[in-house]
Amino acid sequence: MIARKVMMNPFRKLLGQNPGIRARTFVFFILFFLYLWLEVDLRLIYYGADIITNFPIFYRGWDFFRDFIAYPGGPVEYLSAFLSQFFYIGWAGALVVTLQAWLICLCVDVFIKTINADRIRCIRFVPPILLLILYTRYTYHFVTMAALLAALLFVCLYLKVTKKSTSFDLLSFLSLSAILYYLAGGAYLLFAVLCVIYELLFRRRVRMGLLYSLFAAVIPYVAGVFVSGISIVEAFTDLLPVSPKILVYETRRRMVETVYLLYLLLPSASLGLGLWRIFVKSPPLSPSRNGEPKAGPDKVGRKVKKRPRRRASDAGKGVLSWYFRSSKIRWVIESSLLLVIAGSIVLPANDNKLKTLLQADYYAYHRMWPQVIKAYHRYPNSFLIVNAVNRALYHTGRLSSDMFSYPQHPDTLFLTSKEHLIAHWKKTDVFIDLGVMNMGESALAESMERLGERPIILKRLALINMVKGNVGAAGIYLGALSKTLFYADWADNYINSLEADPNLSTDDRIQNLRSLMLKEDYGFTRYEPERILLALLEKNRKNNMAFEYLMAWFMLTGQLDKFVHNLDRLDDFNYKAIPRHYEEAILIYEVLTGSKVNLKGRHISQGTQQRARGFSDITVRFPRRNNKEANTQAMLATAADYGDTYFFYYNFGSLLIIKK
Amino acid sequence: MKSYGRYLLMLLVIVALLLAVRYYLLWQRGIAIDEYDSVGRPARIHPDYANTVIPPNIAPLNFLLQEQGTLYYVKIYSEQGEAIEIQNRKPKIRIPMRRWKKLLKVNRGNQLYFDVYVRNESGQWNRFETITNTIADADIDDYLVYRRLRLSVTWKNMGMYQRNLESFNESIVLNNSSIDGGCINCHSFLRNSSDNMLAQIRSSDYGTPMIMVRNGQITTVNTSTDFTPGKVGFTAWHPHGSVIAFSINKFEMFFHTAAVEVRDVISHASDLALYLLDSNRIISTSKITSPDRMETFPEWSPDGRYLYFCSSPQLPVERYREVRCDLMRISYDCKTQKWGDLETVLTAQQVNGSILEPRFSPDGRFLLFNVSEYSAFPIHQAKSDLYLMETETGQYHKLTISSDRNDAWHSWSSNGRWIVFSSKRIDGRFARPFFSYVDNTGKACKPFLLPQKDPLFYDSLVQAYNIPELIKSPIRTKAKQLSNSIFAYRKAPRADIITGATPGVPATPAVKYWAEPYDESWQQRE
Repeated sequence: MIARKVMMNPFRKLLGQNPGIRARTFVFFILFFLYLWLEVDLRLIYYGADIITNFPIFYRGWDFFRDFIAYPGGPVEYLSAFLSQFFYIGWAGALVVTLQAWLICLCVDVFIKTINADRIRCIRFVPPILLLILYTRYTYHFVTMAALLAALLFVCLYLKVTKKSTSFDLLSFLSLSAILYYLAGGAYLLFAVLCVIYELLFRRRVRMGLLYSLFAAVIPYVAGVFVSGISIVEAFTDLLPVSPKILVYETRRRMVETVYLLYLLLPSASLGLGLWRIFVKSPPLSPSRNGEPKAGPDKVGRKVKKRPRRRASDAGKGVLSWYFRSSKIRWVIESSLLLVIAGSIVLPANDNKLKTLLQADYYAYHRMWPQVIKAYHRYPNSFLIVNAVNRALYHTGRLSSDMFSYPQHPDTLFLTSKEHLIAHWKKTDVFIDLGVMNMGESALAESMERLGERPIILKRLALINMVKGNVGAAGIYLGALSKTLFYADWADNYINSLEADPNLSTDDRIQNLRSLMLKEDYGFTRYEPERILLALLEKNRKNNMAFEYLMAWFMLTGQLDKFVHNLDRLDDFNYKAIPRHYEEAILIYEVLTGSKVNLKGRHISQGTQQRARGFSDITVRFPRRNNKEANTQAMLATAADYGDTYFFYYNFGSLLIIKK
Repeated sequence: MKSYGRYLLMLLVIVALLLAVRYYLLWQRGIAIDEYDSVGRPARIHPDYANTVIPPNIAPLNFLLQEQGTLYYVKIYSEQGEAIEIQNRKPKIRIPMRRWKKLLKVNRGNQLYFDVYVRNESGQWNRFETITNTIADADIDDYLVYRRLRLSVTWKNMGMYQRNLESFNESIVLNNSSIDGGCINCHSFLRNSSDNMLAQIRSSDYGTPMIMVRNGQITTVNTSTDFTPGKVGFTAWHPHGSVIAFSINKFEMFFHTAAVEVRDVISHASDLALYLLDSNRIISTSKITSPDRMETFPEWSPDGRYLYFCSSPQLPVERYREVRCDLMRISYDCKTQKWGDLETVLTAQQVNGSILEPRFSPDGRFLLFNVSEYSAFPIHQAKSDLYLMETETGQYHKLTISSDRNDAWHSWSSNGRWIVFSSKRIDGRFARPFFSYVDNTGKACKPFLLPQKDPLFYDSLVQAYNIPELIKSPIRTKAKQLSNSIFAYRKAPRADIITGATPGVPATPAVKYWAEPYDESWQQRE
């Protein structure tokens, strides 16, 4: 009876046994959690930077839930969508993923122990390590992992409830299959495959195994195609990594091979082991007195003797005796080995470039300007990051004096080129800051179509419509936002504020953006920065960002005549002196045209004049007309001292940047 | 000991159930409100279901009481039948379906009253003035088909849905996610019947099939020919069901820098043609394919003798504000395939705006259209009004139900008593379906919003409804069948244009037109 109890609760048994193993597992997952929280930072996946396109949305309420319970796999998708929202809080997201990894590890362990494969028990740590790689590479496969976990939990449940009688086992399998298929869709197949392997190779119940195989094919077809009305492909692949819903999207199939490995690990390991056992003619498993499967009689009824453990060689015995004698040393060595292996696999997998892109977006979204500029140094050759850096430079008052310290290109300001046609999300905040609300709204609408109704998009849309005075439309976005988990308070506050004062006259941000907002309406098919920026300045001469972006645009595109023409606008702002890059552009203009620019009492600083002379002294040494080599030499000679000047950019262009 | 625990648990469950049943029965019985203060105005309800005419077969008009209180009590009654009493601690009023249907069924043509009482924090009941609606004599068609989509230009989740108007059941007809994006264009039905319908697809992956369901059978039509790009826009079934008039539009989306509506549309080219179903042919005439003019929004007169359409001079995108369409018509004989002369029915100048989307009432007495300041694509206009023309007299007037925002995409019920249209009157951005009763004289009554189970449904829905069309019975073709037909479209034979243009049509101009200048003009305009 006691033995039965132990068998009935493999989890408790596992947890209650061997404090050393427990401690190792605990240490492993503590480190797993800390790495996810502090190093990977799952908040970056939550925000996604327009790179992670399959992060789910989640709304509170029955209506949203109802959509998920209507089809196989829906419940797991719903639960995944809910749990994924905790990525919003770094530690909470890490905890969710750690728990998921721990449960997968536990299920693998239960299965391995059940098939008497203690020697390969260490593979239980493989899924968490692979999972960590997925997150280190900043991919979102939480749903397929949740489906995997559901399948493994049901395998454990099957192992727990069966072994009573054939008919009971069959009934259990069918019941569990039906429930699991509804919960996890196509991931049910993993459950079915493991049950088939278990029955065929370990319990050697061939008929049972074949019957299970048949059901594995029939259940998705009947429940999916006939009952739920989904296509046959969906019926068999939904929530599996081979689903077309994953594979047809480039962004979703990143690292999908690792997910394949996770799915194939247990079936392949158990299949290999089972076949090996058949090959060496070891007997099938049968329940022992204490419920543990053990070696039973062979086919002819002879009692099979337990094979003696192979002894280490005498020499080896001498060397390793201390290792086998001291469990503490063994624990330390084995645990260290585990951590070293895990570290050596996970750490090199880190995708720093992607992380930097995600960080730059995250920091820019939260207006953490110093961090945005810092992010640049980790991935300097990205248009997207330089675009964010330009915005950060403006907000820290450095755009007109420091922008050429960073590799520039006409496209880094507005991401207007074809390559960045769909980088809608990146463009949004620049438009909002400038006051071009309609462009921001349009970019957000496209982002929503691409990324779904994510709270960060809804929040921006609500803000824009409040600025535009579209109280009704703002209310719709706020209404949607108030059903989310973490933005509801923000939305509710604004809903109340709008009810009290639709004009939001005491809201400084709204009023400030409204004062910048473009009023002149005209239709356009292509975004023309110059026209828009001039219109913004027409509306509000004090729109500093519009002015600095306009001047930056003229400098980047080499339109110095227009640049000089707009210098008078300096009077509208409180610049103590002419910004450095403007001085440099003025000097170039004067050299090119041979005319003096009227600076209205302002003057070019000594430092800039000296730099101009220095730059000129070097470049005259390389006659560069149509000579590529001389051009390169001049560029190399000036890069160190003058690489951060407009002189350099004007002469050598955007050679430092690689289009990304 | 263990079994005692089990019995105790069972007992607790039973007691809890009994209490729940008792509570429910008491709650259902209603309460007698003997003392109350009268409030000299009707209660504010959302959506606005007051002073309107409703169909006797509409789903319950669930609403939210926008009044502060601790307890809400609503009595819904008419001249006959049992009153419905609802009380709730929350202001959401959900009307029981069966009792609502029963009440409406026995009260056709009668008034429907909502008595609203709200108990305030001090326990005092306030009674508001009775809200009155009228139950019409005439049913509305049972189903509404519409597109639901977000306000973008790269639709990844655009769906065509059908909603049972007698209940809250909505089902999907086709979603573009099943065909990897693209646009599911306007759908149309032959005389409000789901047996004969069509929808146009514009997909980068699967081309531009016209999906047609005819007597339940799905076919895909390849409307692209050597002379016509296949981008069909708007369609209209000939009343006899053997001809479909369609527009071929070359749209371009553009944006506004500071208008309420961010998006706008200009058509770089737009012509009309006919698809002859039985012979799989496309025919047209130079009268409705002029390169100097833009012809769009075809509509057949109910007797099938005239093809009505909207037409404006073809203008470059910079002059988008000058695009104003006239209402025109051309006679066409289905038997002889002969075209008549062009006639101008109503000019843009007369209505001081662009005339679009002409739709005839089934009996042909009225022509409903909309007028916007400019444009050949009204849904993106901040304002667009509904107009009604009496076809016999040519008299027209702006309907008083028009809002100060956009009202467009209108259509008629099969009995001609109801119109449905997409209106942005609630928030200015998201179009929602509204219904209005039109009486014998052409007077349209105050419109009401498509009811939903949750009265706050629309308040957080970031999608718009457009092209609402009423049909008598549900579309039975499954979404999967429709998407499969799109997948198989590549094999669909192209419609025959050369041979189709010759018989019955003045041969020389038509053939010549298709073969030479038309081709060139499209080339230029590409």
